[in-house]
Amino acid sequence: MKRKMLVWYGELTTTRSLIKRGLLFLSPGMLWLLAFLVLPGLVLVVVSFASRGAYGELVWEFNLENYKRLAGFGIFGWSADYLVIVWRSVWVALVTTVLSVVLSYPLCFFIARRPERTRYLWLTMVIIPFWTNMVIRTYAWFLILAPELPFARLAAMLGLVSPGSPLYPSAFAVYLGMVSMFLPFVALPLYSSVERLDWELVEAAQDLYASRLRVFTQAILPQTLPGLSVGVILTFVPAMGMFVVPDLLGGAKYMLVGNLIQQQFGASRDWAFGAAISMGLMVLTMFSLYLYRRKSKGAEVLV
Amino acid sequence: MRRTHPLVTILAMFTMAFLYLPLMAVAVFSVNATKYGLVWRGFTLDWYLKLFHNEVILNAAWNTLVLAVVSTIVSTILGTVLAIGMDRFPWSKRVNTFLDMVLHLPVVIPDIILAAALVVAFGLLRMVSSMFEPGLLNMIIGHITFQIAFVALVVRSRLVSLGQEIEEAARDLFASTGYLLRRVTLPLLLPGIVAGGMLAFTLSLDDFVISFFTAGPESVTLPLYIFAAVRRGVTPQIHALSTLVLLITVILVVGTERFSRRR
Amino acid sequence: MDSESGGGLVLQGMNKHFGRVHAVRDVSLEVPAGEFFTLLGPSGCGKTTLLRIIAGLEMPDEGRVLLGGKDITDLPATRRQVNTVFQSYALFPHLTVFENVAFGLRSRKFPQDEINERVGKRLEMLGLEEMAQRRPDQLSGGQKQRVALARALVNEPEVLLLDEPMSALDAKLRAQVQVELRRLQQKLGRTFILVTHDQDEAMVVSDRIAVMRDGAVIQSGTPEEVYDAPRTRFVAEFLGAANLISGKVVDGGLQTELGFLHLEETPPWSQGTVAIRPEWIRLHESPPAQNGIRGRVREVIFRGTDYDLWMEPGPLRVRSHTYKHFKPGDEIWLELAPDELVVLHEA
Repeated sequence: MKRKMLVWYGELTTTRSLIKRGLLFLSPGMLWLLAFLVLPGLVLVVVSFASRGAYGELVWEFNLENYKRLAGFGIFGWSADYLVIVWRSVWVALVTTVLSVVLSYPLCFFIARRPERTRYLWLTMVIIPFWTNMVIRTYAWFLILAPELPFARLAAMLGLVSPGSPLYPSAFAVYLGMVSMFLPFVALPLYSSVERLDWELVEAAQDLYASRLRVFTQAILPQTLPGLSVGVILTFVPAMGMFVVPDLLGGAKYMLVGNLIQQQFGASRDWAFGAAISMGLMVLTMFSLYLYRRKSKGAEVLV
Repeated sequence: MRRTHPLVTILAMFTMAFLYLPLMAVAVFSVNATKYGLVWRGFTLDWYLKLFHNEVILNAAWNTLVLAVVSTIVSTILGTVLAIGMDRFPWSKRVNTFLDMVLHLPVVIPDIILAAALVVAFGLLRMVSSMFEPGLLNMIIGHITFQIAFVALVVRSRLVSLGQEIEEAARDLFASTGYLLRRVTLPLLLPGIVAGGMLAFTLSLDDFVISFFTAGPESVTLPLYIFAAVRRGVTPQIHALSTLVLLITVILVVGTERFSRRR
Repeated sequence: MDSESGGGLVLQGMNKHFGRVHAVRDVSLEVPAGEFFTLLGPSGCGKTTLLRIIAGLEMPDEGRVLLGGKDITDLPATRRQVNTVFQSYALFPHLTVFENVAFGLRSRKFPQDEINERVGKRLEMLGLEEMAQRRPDQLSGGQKQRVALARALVNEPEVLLLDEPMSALDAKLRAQVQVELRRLQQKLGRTFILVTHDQDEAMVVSDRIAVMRDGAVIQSGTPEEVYDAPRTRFVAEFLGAANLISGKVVDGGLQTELGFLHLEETPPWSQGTVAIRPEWIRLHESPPAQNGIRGRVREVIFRGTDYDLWMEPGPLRVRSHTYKHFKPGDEIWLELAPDELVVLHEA
């Protein structure tokens, strides 16, 4: 004889009524996510195979034209323009991530070694930019790179830019903006690992006269890897899709995938092509996540 | 206290300057008397006073607030109920994996993809109902969509840390379902719900991309206004506005930190 | 008093699976009212599951729970006159000590003055009056344990269940609390059921012990019965130290590697094991009349009140009082008297 009743969190009930109640709890949130996240996502996939009408409307004729166009096959023959933008996005995201990591390590070590009282103050100083609106932070660079201020004047003196012109739009400005935007995304998860670092292990490595590089790769890196990998994924993925920073600081010369997508939904009014580019970005995202999951198996560390 | 290598200190200070110098510049120029250019002409609070007479900015501030408050309330309720639904019922492993995947989607995909998907979906919905014209409603829906996931994740981690035994103890002590919820589960869950709500609120204020894609002419928010203004050229008023938004962020962050550390 | 009256507990044919794990196997037990009963066994033996079934926090696949002669198997935890002290104590962290203790009364809507009186009485009994307005995170481990105890006892349960209540306490405090717990139970005269993996604790507090392994009860009885007459090798070794000697039955005695041993009873097997506790082996200068073995001391371990001697052949473990001093290499006669040799029931 197998009983139908079971005890769940101290309550005597049946599997049937538990499942019923559970579905009741799940449905509002899940239906919302299905309606406004999963379904639109699927629609986006479908639209990426559709075509643009003469007035920017969607035409339900399905073909691979948008993807071909993304790969560079246009009416005037092959051009690498779009692929260059895609590649540039990956490259910018990569450089941003590397620079953020390089700057985050000293910062985290510094904060971890402050006395307890001031440590939280320093940490809050990193959290504040994390939560400050990205338009404001980008615009702040706009301001500081203005021709009247010392940075642009110095560059003009060195002959890098013509006198009286700002340091934007330029690749340099994009990198500045991107790194300052994403540095806290690396620093905060990394700090949680650095805080728990076993310094005795590091000192033991130093005592063994290991070179600085070896101390880092053998003693510090393995211990901080959990936080580092979260930081890297939190930076790399959104950096690929960034569009505010390149829009304001890069201009037309330094376009990234994010701007390209925005352009299709804005001025160009070519939703189908925009959807196809979004799919391209999605593939890059999934690939990065796949690499991340393989590197840190079973680590439930996102958020 | 172990000593810190001077190079580490120098690099850390450099990084901090790198993060704060631009923001401080904005604050400094927001009290500069010059109207054009960036030459220091003395202290003034005129730009701040003018903000409060600028109808467009006041309207944008109101939109930002409505958007953040409404989306936070809805997403906190939906996210909390969803978290309870995910954690407190005997779902099979496969169901759990599926739920987990859906929940993590808005967290991991770049926001521009969600924005693009929403534009297309609202575009198609407009064929059915004019309710979905670009505007505040679409923005609220968009914000709720990514907020739910964050609220649910925060509340769920609180539920997991509460565990099973405390509710069993209450049942063992004769608590009815209502009494258990009122006296034990909700009070213990409240810090998680508040933390999730604060996170949702900050995310809404922080968002630009979703708003940018779903906004209509009548629903300009502060970040959208600033973005548009910057493309026209920076003005001291924009400095003042940005500084104010920055200050509000600081207050929110410090408040949240205080709250979460007290618990 | 017996298991039919209020507070008497009967478990019949209890079985419980978790997936493929058979957590409780065919357990039937009777606990008379007012008894201090202990479920003893290593971790994972099913003792906590059994306790949770009694509390109503787990539903058995098969079997019945009877409390005071009434079947309570299908009653929810909220309708059983049974309360539990959890291993982690599971105190409500957001409520004061007073409100923690009052919880069971409030959830049944007792009037405020009765709550004040009953909670006050329990807090006083357990020396917690000063702590009444504190929160659990301001208490020491021992104080938390007493709050958990008060919180359960204030409801005057017919049966009090204790799930490893001492595991969070340090060794010294644990010994003291064990004695206090025993006195408390005798004063209240209620049925207590304790789950523990600590055999010393089980012997100090219990009227009767049930030894569990792999979900089944393998022996139950008073602490003396279980200690003096273990039925299996597992019980012999789990409760204190034991020398296990294997051999073949020959002429009503046992032929072993150590020599021929006379037995009091004839074993139910032809080949098997007998057990003798280290302190039951007697030491002699000259050969004893029966079951004498010439032993040589290999190692001496000082234990405070006595020494443990590891002897050749064997190795046999012998416990000797401190006033007899031995060094490694000393030779001595060991008497494994027939009435001290316990015949184990498994072959």
